[in-house]
Amino acid sequence: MPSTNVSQSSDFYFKSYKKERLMLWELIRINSNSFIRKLTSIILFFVLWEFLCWIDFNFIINFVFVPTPVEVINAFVQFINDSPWVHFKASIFRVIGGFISGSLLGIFIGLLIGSSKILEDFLATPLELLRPIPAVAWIPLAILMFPDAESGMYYITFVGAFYPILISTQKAVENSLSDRLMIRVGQSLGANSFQLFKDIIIPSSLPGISAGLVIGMGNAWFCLVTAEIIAGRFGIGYKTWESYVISEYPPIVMGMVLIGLMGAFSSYIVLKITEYFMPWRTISKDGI
Amino acid sequence: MTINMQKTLKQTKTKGKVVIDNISISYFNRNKNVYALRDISTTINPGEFVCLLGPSGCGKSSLLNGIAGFVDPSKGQFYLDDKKIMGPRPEMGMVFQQYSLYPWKTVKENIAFGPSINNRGDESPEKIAMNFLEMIGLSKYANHYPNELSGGMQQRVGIARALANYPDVLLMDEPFGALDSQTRIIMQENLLKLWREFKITVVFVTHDIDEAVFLADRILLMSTLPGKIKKDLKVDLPRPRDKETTDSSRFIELRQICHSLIREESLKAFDKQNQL
Repeated sequence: MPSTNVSQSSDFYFKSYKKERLMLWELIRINSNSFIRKLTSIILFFVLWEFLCWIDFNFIINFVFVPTPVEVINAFVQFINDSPWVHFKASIFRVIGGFISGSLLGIFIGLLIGSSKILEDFLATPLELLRPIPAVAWIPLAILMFPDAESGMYYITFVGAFYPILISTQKAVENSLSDRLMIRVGQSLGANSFQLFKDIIIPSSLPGISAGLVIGMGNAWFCLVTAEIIAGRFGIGYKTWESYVISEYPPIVMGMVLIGLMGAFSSYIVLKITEYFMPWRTISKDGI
Repeated sequence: MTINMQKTLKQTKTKGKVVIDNISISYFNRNKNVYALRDISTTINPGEFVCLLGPSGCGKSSLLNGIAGFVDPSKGQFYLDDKKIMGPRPEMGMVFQQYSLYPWKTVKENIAFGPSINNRGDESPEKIAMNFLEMIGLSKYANHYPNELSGGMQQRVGIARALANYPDVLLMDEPFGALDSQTRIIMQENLLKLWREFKITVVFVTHDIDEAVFLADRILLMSTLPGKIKKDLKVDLPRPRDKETTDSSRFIELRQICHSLIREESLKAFDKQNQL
């Protein structure tokens, strides 16, 4: 076992300041209080759920038909034993495809309309009119517009990811442009518009863009069930929808939980990746 | 005399003459045209250290921003070495009031930004940045981010960043205003060292009388509403200046002169603001 010189909190701050990489178990050890709190909250959540089902709670919300956590876990075991990988793969590809195209286009158009009034006048209005349309409403058109069901599904996850990324990028750029001091510093050093954009506007917009990407990733999962209603035989969302159609309740909840888990996990990954590009940021929430 | 000879030597040697020709700057505020500056003319010679001194709201920052090319004058023209100033340019470095380092760039990258844009060729931006870091004594912090540095250190980097472009004129907008008095005095002494080394024109805005008298060759005392140059005061204290300079009787005398003039102005400004 390696020596545990990170057990003291002062050492920990020193380490994080130096940006050394810690092993997972070390992190858990250091954050043990936080970790225990999080674990407790999840356990309490499941206990409450089980309890409400057990007493057949029925006041405003009806828990009589809600499957219990144990039933959901059984459904999950069954699902795992029955070649789950095709479903995972199909869904993950759809989400990642929609997210990547959504973020590329969202960031690109967001940078344009955030920094140019003319482009904003031309592009923002139609985009804004399309924005409130929910993913479900796109289903018929997605079927009509795309050559096959698969690309229609990509389109719907794309719509989910695109808008939050677009809007946050646009607002972040506008915010950076309003910081006259930063622009003036660049101008006085001799930067032209392109250099101002590349070295000042984009880096100072990164935190906003990052928030958009995290929300966008979550939204892509959000739209997955909708997308997989279109057609297909595979996918977590499809599985959920199919279970609803044949009135099998535990797999519905299982599908919901799986989408929640994968959505949270992938948002976390996106957050970590974007943080990697912003090493200058140090956030302390306890010092307010 | 020797001072004059030194001046002529500098004039022939260096660039950086700033001509302020009949400048007025006005702002539109609540449908009223408010003059921040009115009919200002003066010439700042190459290598000269000029302080713009006045109470807050006298338009000294407007004048500096005008020279820098950030604000267009409503009348008159600024010239740098007999060329019209049409906008910000790398021949004029600027040090700002607030900490204006880019938080996403390391200290070294902040300083290297100007050289990497202007690309003068002979030395790599990295090398220039490291040279300047050594000069300001912060080599150890090359790869730190600005938020890891103290206020005084950040402002030293800010000055180094402006100097790294090898400008002919250095414009400084209350650069030490946010520092504690101990740090401020050290920063002033260091600034004078850098100024001697670079033989550069400095236009320094401040409302601190001691600072102005300690640093400047010439103090332009400004009056308020509209801003005008009330007095063009030669500071004939010997150089190099250090702690003892501030104890000399001439220093105290000059400070006294500035003090009474400024007090007059502050009172006037107070009254006018009440009338408005």
